[in-house]
Amino acid sequence: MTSTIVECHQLTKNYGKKKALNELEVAIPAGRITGILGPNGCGKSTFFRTLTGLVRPDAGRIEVLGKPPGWQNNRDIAYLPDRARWYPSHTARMALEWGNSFLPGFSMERAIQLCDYMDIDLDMRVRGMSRGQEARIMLILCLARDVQLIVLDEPFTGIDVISREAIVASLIDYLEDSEQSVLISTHDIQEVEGLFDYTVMMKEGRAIWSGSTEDLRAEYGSLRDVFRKMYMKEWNK
Amino acid sequence: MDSAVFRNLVRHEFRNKGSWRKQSRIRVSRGWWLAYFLIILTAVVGTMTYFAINNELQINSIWYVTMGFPYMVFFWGFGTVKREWENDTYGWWLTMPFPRAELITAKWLGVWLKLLLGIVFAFVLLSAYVFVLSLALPAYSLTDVGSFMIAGIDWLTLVAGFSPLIISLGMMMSIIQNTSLRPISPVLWVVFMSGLSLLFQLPDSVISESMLQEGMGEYQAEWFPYSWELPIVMGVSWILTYAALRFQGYLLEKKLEI
Repeated sequence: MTSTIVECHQLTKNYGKKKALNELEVAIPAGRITGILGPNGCGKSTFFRTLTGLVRPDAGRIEVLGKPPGWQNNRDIAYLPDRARWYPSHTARMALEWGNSFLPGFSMERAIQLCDYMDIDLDMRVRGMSRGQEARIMLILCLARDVQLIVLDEPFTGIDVISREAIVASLIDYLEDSEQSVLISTHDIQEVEGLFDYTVMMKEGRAIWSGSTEDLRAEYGSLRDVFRKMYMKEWNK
Repeated sequence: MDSAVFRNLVRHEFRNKGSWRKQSRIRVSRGWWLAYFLIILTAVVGTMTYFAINNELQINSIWYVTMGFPYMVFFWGFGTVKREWENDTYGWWLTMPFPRAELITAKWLGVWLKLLLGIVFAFVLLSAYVFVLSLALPAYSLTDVGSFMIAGIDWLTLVAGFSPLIISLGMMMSIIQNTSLRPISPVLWVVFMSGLSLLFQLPDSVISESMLQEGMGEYQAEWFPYSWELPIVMGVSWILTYAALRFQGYLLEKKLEI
């Protein structure tokens, strides 16, 4: 395992006049649970899409697991896309079978255990599920993989509080003993306060702070306070 | 990618259906859909039977109900890619650890297999209808049924043979709308839609114009009423299909705008 799992230099991606990533410089250590934090539109999702090869940067360099992003690299990355949904005609079991067929390192046994733990009925169709149940299925597709890097882009968006708490609890339970590196982006830090041991704060396509979450807390107080101080303008909107 | 994974991908695409957008509409129960289907079916079959009873039905012209197949095929191709965006599943699809040219090829093959199944279904259903007519009405003979089936095979072979290209163009249209080439999509709509009509205007030397009109009495349909140029044109369309799929792989790899 490399000592840094993701490394970016001068990474830039423009959408028209908007700079989604603005000469981003960041190095994320391996084996940690890293929170990519920032308000909506700060470039978190573009960063994740870049590191899974979904979009190509306009300039700069990015290395994930020591290699440039691309489909080959995605064998070792479990990625939950932003605002993703699942195929409505699938049952939970069909979703797991999909994972088993196409995702390297996927363990059907572990996936079924996770479904049991997260209270998912394997024969229920996704179209009949709540958003929270659907989100849990997608999370299971990522967590049931034995890969070096798990990337979860806004895994809590649009999910009710109870499901959100259940998901965070399972993430904490599951990831505590895992040696996998995990990147989680969110603009909603309340529930995930205790989850991260490394934090990258983003604003306008740049990393404005990165380091151990303990150091961040020592400097600013709780993550909520950090958010309030660093994103005063967005916070007041 | 090993062949078992590719087979699974094709199977996934073949079975893939359903849309969150349609799901969010007010649901019409299955009973209502069945009722609408039966009303339309009764109207179509009733009209054809009425004309048949009055000896005014040229049975080979029944194949005209399938004349819209080429357009339908284009929109199947278009829809199969569009559905990934509509359902917000494109992130899962495009981050699978396989070359995007293979992802798109599996999608294409899934649609083509569905189409072939649809063609066989239409052929069997219409042939069965004409067979029943021939048993019930003295104006139609078993020879006419044979002629009807031959004309159907001739026409549907044409649809099946050109559909690989049409499906791939439909898919390309949808992909282009999600890439940096999006500004050219209005032009491509015009080109593709008018281009489809070319299929119906291939010169008489390639496709006989009266293929679907003849077929009764002394005008029996014949096997393969095309000239030798048709297989060549079809072969060229398959080469173009391959090129179109490779191009789509390139677009998804290098030009995607999400």
